[in-house]
Amino acid sequence: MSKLLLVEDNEMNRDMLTRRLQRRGFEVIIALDGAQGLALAKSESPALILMDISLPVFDGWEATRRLKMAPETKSIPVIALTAHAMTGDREKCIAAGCDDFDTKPVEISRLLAKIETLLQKQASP
Amino acid sequence: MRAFRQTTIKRKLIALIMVTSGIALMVAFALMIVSEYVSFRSGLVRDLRTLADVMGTESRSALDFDDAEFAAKALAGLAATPNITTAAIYTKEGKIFASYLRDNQSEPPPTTPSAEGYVFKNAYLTLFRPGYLNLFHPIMRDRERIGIVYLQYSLQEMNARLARYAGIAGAIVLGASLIAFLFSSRLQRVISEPILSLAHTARIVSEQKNYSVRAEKRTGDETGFLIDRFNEMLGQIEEHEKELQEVNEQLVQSEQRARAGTQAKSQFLANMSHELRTPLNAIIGYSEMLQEEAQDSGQESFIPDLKRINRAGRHLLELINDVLDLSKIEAGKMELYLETFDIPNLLEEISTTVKLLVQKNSNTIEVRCPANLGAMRADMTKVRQALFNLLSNASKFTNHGKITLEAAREASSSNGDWIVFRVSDTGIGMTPEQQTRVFEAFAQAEASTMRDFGGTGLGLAITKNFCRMMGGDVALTSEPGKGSIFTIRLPTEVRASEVELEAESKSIAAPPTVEGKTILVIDDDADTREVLERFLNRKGFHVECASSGQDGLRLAKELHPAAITLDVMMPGMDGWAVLSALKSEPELADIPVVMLTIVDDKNLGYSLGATDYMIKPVDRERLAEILMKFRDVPPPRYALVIDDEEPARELLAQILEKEGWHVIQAEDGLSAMERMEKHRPDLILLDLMMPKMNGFEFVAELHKHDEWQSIPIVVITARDVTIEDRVRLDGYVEKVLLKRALSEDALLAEIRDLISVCMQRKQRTQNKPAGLASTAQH
Repeated sequence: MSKLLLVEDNEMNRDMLTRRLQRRGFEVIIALDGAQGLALAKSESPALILMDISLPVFDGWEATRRLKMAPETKSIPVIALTAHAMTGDREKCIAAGCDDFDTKPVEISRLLAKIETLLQKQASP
Repeated sequence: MRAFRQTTIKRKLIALIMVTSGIALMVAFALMIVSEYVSFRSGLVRDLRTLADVMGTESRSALDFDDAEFAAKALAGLAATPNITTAAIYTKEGKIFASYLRDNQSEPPPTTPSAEGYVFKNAYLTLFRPGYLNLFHPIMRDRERIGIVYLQYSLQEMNARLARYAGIAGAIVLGASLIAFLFSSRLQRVISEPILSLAHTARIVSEQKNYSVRAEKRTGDETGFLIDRFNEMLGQIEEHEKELQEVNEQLVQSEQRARAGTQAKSQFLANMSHELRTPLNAIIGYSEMLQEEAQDSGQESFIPDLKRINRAGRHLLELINDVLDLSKIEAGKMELYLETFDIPNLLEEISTTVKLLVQKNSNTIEVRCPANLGAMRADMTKVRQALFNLLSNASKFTNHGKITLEAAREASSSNGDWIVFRVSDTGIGMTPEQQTRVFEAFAQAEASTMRDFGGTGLGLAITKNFCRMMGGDVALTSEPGKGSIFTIRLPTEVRASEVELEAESKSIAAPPTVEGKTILVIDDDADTREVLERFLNRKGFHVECASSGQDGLRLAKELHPAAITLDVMMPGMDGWAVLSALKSEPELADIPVVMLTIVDDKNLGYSLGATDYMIKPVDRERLAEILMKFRDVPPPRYALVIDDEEPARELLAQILEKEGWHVIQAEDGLSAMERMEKHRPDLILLDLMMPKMNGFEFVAELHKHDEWQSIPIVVITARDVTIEDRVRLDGYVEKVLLKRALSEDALLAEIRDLISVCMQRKQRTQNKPAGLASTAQH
């Protein structure tokens, strides 16, 4: 099953999402901040990255920007998780290079659909 | 008289003095001449009578003896009196007895003792005729008249004397007038100079808006009084000005405080909502997860409670989101993202979304929308949210009823078309009192409503705000027990904001000029490209777009645009790579590049050669300002700053460099001349007081060189500029700015204005002969 990288600093959110994704059969690796997320993306080459936006060290926008600049990670799809779907967030996501975004609290079925779509796109480019 | 009124006070004073003294002199002389004439005449008559008496006495015996010859002899003695031209002796009967004629031109005596109709009676008769005085005098013996003596006296001598008198008087009047003129031209200054200096001060005040100057009082008279009052008035104005400035500053400060307050409030709300959301996410997420796990492990009795936790959490989240929306609207931070969308599609989508909500209270929903209704331009998210709020409201307050969603186009003659959305229900309805409060935040129809029906009470307030933001409104008609009808009216073409409205109307007033060269927009996001293109077009730029770095580079080479806006985050070749490529091509390296990015990495941008750096969301007005600078001014431009004070020079250099100038500095006119030999500047900022070669000498020297005459010069000086100075500079310099008369900010603003005026004119006259650009402006 696919390996997902979850970059999230909040312990409860991390735990919750990890468990729910694992229950659906994903392998989930965890990063606590932007820098760690970047490092793990490079070393573990996950199939997809779920990126929280407010992160320590550097935030999700910055992490995504750097991911998309590095040749070895730029093809990994990134789904940004924002707190509140504010107008303008969509533009920001696309500008930063995210492939999709979703709002927290995560509605698991919607998120799963987005993950599936991106993974399928990845598999058959 | 009118010309006299228009003439200067100086001339008026001289004229007054001259006229007054002239009239006085002339009257005096006229009186003198008249009195001289009168006394001369009476003296003459007296003398003549004495002479006639003597003549009469002498001829008495001749008459006695009827010896005419003797009488004639006596008369001949009159030859010694040259003015007597004719003389005669008449007999008692009035016949000529003897006569004397001085020469053959002399007038013969009248045949009878009469002249000009006057007949001699008994006493003597004198008669002044032009040029002559005639006298008849009786010859008496023992109270009996025995004859008459007639004498004619020539007045030639007297007239000549009077003429001489008049001549001398005229000469004296002339001489005196000359002296009066000389004195008055000096003396009038006593009066005119204080008035002129007062006028000069008044002019300085009105021209420079400098209320700190004072008129100098030199006299204690009425002018002095006037100057005192004038100065008092200036003092009052200055005080008022100061008060006004203070009040203004206070206003600005309090406005800043208020703005900071609002900002702090918004920031607080943003932070709070984040802080609240994080634990809430956990509550919602874990309750959901537990539901799944309860289902899996067969502990289904927990599920209803877990659902309640989940629902409460979601309600709280909704509330927080609404509060945040409302606070954003209040802080004016809510932005409109306008797009054109199909209305039937939107209604279809919304009705699907609310279906579950509608069915919850056993309601049905009907959508009435003509299939050919077409599209509108608005913020789709906000229209959707507004309609969703109305529909969820209707669902909540209706049981076993019907909810209708309608849309229609409404033509309006004046303001273009409107789209009308109508949400009606058959629910509980509202009383008029409830209707008035329903759009207020946190004011549901009744306090208990929230408990019974849920909801945040903010939905309608938000709906109303959204509609108003888009230039429309929402209205309500309702009757208790029968239901409610909410009507939203929105313009078919929503315009972004007042700022843009303003910009649009401005651009209508001043249609975009085609002078400006092309701006190249490189951005992979189609929306951003469109927004930028539309906005920049409105500002008068011609815009070309590229959707990728490669395309951008190709277009840059093709078009050689005036400036480039460059997005940093782009797939494939990103903004940094494009920037490096641009700067490494010699023919493209001088195109200014403005980086548009969400990442605050200014240093990287500047080190790669970006001209400016803006963080998204982009302040469009500022972007337009930045691009305006590059529109059609070919870099580089050189400015020469001449001032012996280094700090002043540095300050001006800084301002100019900020505006994109290359600055050459010189500490006096002489070294400025040397620098100019090497590099011809496009603008000169000049101080007047300098060692070696001062500003005046510099300007004079400059104008000996034809090729330098068209360079605009702005004089910036600390010294008093007299009218004479201005005359010396007039026609040579663009403007004279006083260092101390202006605040630093005002000085900077003036210089900036002048620079742009000069540059614009330079552009216009580029192809015309040099020299036109140096026309002075004041």
